[in-house]
Amino acid sequence: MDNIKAQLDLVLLALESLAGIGSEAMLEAAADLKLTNIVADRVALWRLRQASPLRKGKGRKRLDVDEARSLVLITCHLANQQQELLRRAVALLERLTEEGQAPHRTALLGDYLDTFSNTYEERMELTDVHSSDHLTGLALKLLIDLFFYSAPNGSKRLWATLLERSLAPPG
Amino acid sequence: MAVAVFRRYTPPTCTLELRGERSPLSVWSDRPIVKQVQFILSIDGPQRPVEQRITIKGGRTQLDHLHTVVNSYVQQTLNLSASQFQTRLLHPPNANSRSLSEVGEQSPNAVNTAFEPTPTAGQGLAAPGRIRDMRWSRSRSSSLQPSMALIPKGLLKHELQLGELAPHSADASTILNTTELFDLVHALESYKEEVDSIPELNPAQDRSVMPWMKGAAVAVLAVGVTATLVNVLELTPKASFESADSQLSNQATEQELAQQPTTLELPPVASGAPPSADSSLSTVESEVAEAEEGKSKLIAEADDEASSEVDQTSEKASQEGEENTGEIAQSQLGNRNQPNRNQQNGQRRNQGNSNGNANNEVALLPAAPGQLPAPISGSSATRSQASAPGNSTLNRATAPGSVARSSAPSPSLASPGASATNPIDQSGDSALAESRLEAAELPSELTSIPPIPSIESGIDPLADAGDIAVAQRQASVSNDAPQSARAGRTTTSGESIASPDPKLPQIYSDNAETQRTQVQTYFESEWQPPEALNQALQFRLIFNEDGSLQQAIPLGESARSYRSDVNLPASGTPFVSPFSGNDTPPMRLFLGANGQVRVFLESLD
Repeated sequence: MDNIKAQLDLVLLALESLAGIGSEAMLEAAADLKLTNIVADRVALWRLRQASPLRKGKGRKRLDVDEARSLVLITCHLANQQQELLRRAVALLERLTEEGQAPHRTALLGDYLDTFSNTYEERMELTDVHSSDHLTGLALKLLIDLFFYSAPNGSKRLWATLLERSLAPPG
Repeated sequence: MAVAVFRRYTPPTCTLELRGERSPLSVWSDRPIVKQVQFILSIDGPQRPVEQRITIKGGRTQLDHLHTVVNSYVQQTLNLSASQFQTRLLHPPNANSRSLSEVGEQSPNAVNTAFEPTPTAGQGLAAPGRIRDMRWSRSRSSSLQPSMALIPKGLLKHELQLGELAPHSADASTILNTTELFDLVHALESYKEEVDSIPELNPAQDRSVMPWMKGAAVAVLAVGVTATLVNVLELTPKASFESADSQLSNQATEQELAQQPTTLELPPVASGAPPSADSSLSTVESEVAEAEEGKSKLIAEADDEASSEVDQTSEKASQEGEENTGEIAQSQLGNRNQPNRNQQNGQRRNQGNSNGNANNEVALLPAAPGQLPAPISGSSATRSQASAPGNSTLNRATAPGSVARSSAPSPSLASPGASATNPIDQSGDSALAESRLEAAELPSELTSIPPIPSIESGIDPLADAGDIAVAQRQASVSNDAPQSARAGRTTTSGESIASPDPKLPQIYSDNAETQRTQVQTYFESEWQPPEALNQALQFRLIFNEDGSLQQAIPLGESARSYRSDVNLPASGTPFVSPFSGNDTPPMRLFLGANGQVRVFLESLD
């Protein structure tokens, strides 16, 4: 489940960075989705996300199926709420790419990338792999993924992706 | 029905228009059912140059193909990203591979090469080899039509090869950007979710579909038949058990009953119906058979009584007659636990016994409660009901505490019941009531080898019972062993505490009763509660086979503290009479703060 935990945490991180979603919004989503028995408060949420092995502290907690499912549903619910923003961001990215410009040039994407990098460095165990370039690429990829997860059946896609990851051999 | 445009999906970058005939079947479905679906897909977002806007048309099959292709492509894309995450983050990037790390460099050139769509397939952000190696989604259309496909062009561009859907112009494919892809997927998904479409009759299609459908139909049929058979088979064994039991219950010999192991399974199965009463009776009968021997005649009588109707109303409680009271009690409890019924049956058997010898009640009781998780309240209610005829002393409230009180008069009933030559009815009543009480209370007392707090709660009610118990004990002393054992048990039953333990320990033979009584007698004379004591003390007494005390284990803080105040006999010194058989049951000793002494047999389980 290692990769699943990492992926869930990163997807939420991307959403946080783009839309400024904090734990309040996540808890609110949990309440809306009636998941408060699993994600009851900020501490519980933090613990679930802290399970990621990429985090500082190596993520000790195991994530069970219900917890993973809750995170999936919360993430997609929030992504769905931010669909307009995500669409704009992706459209922007496409345009910039076609024009050959760096994404940082725009406010939306530039802020997103900066926030993502900073938060990532703050929370995650830093290794040599995580240069700012890597993080930018990671952030953009997550952005696109989030865009697809924001669809009504996005949770199905995210869940399928997570499972696919856990089945695929590393590397 | 006329062809009508029934759905139009208009996300920002494309338009999906659906036409078809609405089937009359839509009435019975929550989604419209459409046949002969035709679709028109226009990729005409504002950002798309006019000359690149395309429109494709097709039927249901092509639409489904398109949906499948696009859907699986998106999923694969997402998965691929995840793999790349995995590659990059969890393993050092390979310098030679065109991984994202290289691409992510901020130099404009790098960005250009990374994000720029390339005409050739496979190049792009992702490792080309990986993409090429992956089987991108292709529609599984028949070989007659060129297949549709989506091929990634980097992370943000996707080439949609239209295959059969290609308009007659030269464009057989178009490049979608991610937004358009998203909208296309969204539109197709919405269509799939909202609309059911009837497959068109297509000879080619039928050929491919029919064998599959035949196989599916056969499978469904097989499953249905199997399920039916299972249901039928489940019912028939029950019926056979019950009929067998009713036959057995009419037989006189307990050995025959004991030989019916299946009856033991019945209590969980049967419930609340007359046949189940028979089965439960049979179960109890088999237990009784195991518990004692040589009482076949009595059992036969009990069987006859018990096999009479179960569903008596409470009105009958007012009527005199052993059968009625027994049945009422039985029926009342019949709605509760099966074991309760067993208990009642055990009572009834005792009732039958009382015709001859009330002593048998006690002997039978060990067997009956063996299964009982009897809630005390249930027993109390029963007791109060059953005691109506002529046994006013038996009328008790249904509170658990009343159990003690209700047990109190039982000795008095027992005595007259045992000794008097009352009409059978009355003695049967009392015996029945008493035995019922005993059996009811026995489980509660035994299971509630209770924690100290519950004993404390029971101490007060026990106060009255204690006196009567003493009287009864005296009365019983004059009787032979079984009777005294019964009386002893009745007194101990007076200590039934509020919370019955669901798991009732097995009571074994009467052999230990003698010793238990001896222990009780001993401590009654020895026990002097210290002034400071305000709780009952509990000890577990372990015996040796020769009757000497092996060990006295204090249970609880109070017991440990006041152990020295209890004149426990020294280990190894003769204490009680030797145990016959192999059982040296441990006993639970309760010493009340008011001087009461109670001794229970513990299970060896």
